[in-house]
Amino acid sequence: MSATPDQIIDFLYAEARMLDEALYADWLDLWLPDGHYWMPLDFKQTDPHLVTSFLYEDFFMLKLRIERLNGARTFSQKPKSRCLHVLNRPFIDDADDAAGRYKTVTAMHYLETRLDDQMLLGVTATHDLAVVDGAIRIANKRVDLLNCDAAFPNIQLLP
Amino acid sequence: MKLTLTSTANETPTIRTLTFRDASGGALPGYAAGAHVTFDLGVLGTRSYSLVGWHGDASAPEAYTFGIQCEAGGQGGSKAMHALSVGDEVEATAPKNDFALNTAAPALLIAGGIGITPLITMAGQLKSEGRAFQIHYTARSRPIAAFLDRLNDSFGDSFHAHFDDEAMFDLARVIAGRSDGAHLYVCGPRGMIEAARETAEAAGMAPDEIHFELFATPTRREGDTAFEVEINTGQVFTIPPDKTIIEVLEAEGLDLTYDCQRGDCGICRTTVISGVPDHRDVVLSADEKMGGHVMQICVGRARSERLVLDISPRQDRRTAPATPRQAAPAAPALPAQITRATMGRYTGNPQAVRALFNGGQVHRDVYIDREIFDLEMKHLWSNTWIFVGHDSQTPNKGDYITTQVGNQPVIMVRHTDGEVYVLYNRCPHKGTKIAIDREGNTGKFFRCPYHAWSFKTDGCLLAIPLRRGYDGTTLDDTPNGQGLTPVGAVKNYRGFVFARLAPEGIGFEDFFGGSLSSFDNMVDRSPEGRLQVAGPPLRYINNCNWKMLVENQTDTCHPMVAHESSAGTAVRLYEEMGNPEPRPPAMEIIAPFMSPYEFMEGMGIRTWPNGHGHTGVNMSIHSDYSAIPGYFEAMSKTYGADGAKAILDENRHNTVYFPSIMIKGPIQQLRNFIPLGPDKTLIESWIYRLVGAPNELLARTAMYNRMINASTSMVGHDDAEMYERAQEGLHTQGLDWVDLNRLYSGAETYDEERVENGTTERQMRNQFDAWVKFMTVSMEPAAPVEAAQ
Ligand code: FES
Ligand SMILES: [Fe+2]
Repeated sequence: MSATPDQIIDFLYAEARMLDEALYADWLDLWLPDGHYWMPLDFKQTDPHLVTSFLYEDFFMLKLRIERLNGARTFSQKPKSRCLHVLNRPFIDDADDAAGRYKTVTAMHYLETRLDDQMLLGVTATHDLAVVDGAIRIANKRVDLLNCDAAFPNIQLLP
Repeated sequence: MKLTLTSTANETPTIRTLTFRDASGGALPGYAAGAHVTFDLGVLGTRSYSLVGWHGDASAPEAYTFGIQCEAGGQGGSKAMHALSVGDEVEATAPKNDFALNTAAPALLIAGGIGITPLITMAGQLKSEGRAFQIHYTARSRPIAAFLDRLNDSFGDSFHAHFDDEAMFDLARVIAGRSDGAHLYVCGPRGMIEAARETAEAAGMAPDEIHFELFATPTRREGDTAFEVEINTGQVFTIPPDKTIIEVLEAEGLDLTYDCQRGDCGICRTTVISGVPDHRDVVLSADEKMGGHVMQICVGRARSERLVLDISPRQDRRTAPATPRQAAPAAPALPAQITRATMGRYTGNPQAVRALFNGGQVHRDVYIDREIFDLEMKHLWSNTWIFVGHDSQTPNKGDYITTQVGNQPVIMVRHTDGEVYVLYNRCPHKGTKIAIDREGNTGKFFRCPYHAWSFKTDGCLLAIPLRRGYDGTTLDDTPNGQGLTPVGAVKNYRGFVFARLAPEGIGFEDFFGGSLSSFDNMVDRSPEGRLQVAGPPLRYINNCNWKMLVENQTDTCHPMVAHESSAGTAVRLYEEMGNPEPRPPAMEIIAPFMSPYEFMEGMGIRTWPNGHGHTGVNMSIHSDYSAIPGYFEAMSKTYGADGAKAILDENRHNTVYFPSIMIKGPIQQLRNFIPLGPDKTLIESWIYRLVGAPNELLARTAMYNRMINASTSMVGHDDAEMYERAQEGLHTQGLDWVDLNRLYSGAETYDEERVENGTTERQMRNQFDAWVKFMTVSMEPAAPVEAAQ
């Protein structure tokens, strides 16, 4: 099973749009169950386990995160945050059509706002994509913040 | 031979042409382009100057002509040359040539400033032979460039002048435009030669096509002979003519401190115990040189057969000021007038500060008032012991980190004696921060990037370029002349480094007392009794007062409420999944935040004097972590099974070391609260590896850090929301007081260790008791304000 470059790039744009429109159930459906959403703390970090990361979330954590956003007593989301991903055209760095595995690198601006505050982050998303049963799925996703070593306020949604 | 000065001419305000003839009227030896003559200037040593011959080589010259620039900052050699009057005699050597022209190839000549002199002779020679050449002359500006008109007249189209204040000299283009097979000849300052050489090599020129002469004080000279150096251990080393003292001693394994190796930075200044040094540096003053008791061993040599130098195998005493390092003297008291002008409600008013805490409640000004914040920095955060860093962040000599103690920027650095020092990050010259990267290695000394004042890693002043410009000034009598100012006191407790900014005050053990047992437990959890920092910390900003964060550490009545959104949802999700085993990691880390009030009550809270305290006396939310294979065995090996069990049964939750940090012993986490303003706090959340323990423990610690404390952490979002809402809410004028009455008997004292119900707010009251104490201990009541006229 393989995917064309257009299909892959459309997929990445669609994923970002789901996050922007808070279609989290749809977004979670894009994931393979043993995938991890990793946001390293250190520039060019290689190890997600023995040093701190911002996020290294398995499916349970992602589901918890999404459920929490809609919880009745989630006070940090009253009012809710909103976000916007502005994507550069993704690079397809590795393509294994036979195995249906692809690695893409996408630079973007991530904006998150709540009340009077808005934050802009430069991020680079690296996706491991897999074609499973004819559909592109996220096997793993890594999001690097350009200013990972800066001190941040709350980042409540998913860059 | 002896030369007589026969005429002089001023070319520019600083460059003078000097013409000499043989003193006895005899013939002078001939010379070829590039040659120089060395003059003997007595105590000032010798100086070499290039021969200027507008027509090139001279086989039987009538006179020798030199273009000499008076170096204002030099050692006095050029000044002495300028001071010669017509008729004066000087001793000089016959011409010698280290910079000869290749006999056939075309030539590209590049001069920087006064480096033009040998190239004039070369151009004259090339012209007379009719060979192809170009001569480029660079100078800072037109008025300071000598010989311009004559160069133009003599060499016409082959001559090109470049002035820095008019246009950049494009070295690469000039080199690229050379004629085929041309050799390059460069004379000028070191930087220019290095740049030309690099550019030429990059352009494909072979090393034997590149010729240069450094126009600087020569450090090695013809006729140099071997001499001996004896050091404090009695060892004697022979310094051959082609090696410096530093080169020889270093090759013998001595640890020396130096930088420029050309005699101008001053760092390698060394005391001469006996023998006569031959000075070749430009930093020592004339008096110092004549005195003969110090020398720069990077270039200096000996006039006697042996020098006895004050060098020990480890060089710590050498250049240190005679006085031991002392904390900066306390700031002089402000004149009363100024005190009054800057005084608000609380400055110089300990009574008003004390009134902010009444035992059960605290006034909102402690969280929102700028004046209180400034007083906290000046008193509380200066009089108490504040966390700086962990010594594994600076494992090697010269390793440093930059951070803050309160609002004061500091450097923590490992000195050559193996100890960790904490210095204010401020150059004593103009204030420039000495280091701004968060970590690094500075070698044996810090060097200020602005004017190159240098400091040993214990802060002592090492050297100042052109030091003699401060002779007779007040610099040495002020703290600025001592070096980087150290903080008042430093203590390394089992790897954790603390500083007290105030030079005088409570001792480390007195301040922390029994609370150090929490550090002990955290460190003892390593089978080797040692922690090691693991990666960079999380860094996050909360828009709230630092005390809100510190109070929250022992606030056991908030988790089940504020964290219901994260921990409660986790519990619900897990139940919906049918409670699968093994539990997802999130359940182990996050779910305990939903523990009920009864659990929190039973957990217990212990307080110690001076504001320290911890939750989790009997058990805690960290008690139920799964065992990690191999860990207990490793611990038992060190401590015995009973000892290991005793260490691991202690499950203290949060220990507050007032005012700056909280640690979690069972998971080796430290949160550093760095106050940035009354409503802004930077938090750094560090984790440590238990040296000798399985990696799984560190993995759990890293997981805890990101799940609970990251800016992206759901649990962190819950807390930050509360702090920031409180910070905003406290600006309302409707109510002035914040309540701390929970389980307050009304008759509490804090001067002894106590254990109480886990939901008491006693620890918060304990903190304010200490807050008042250390805010007012150094606060002088101001003189009464004079009645208005
Ligand atoms: S400011 Fe540091 S040397 Fe001048
Ligand atoms: Fe909390």
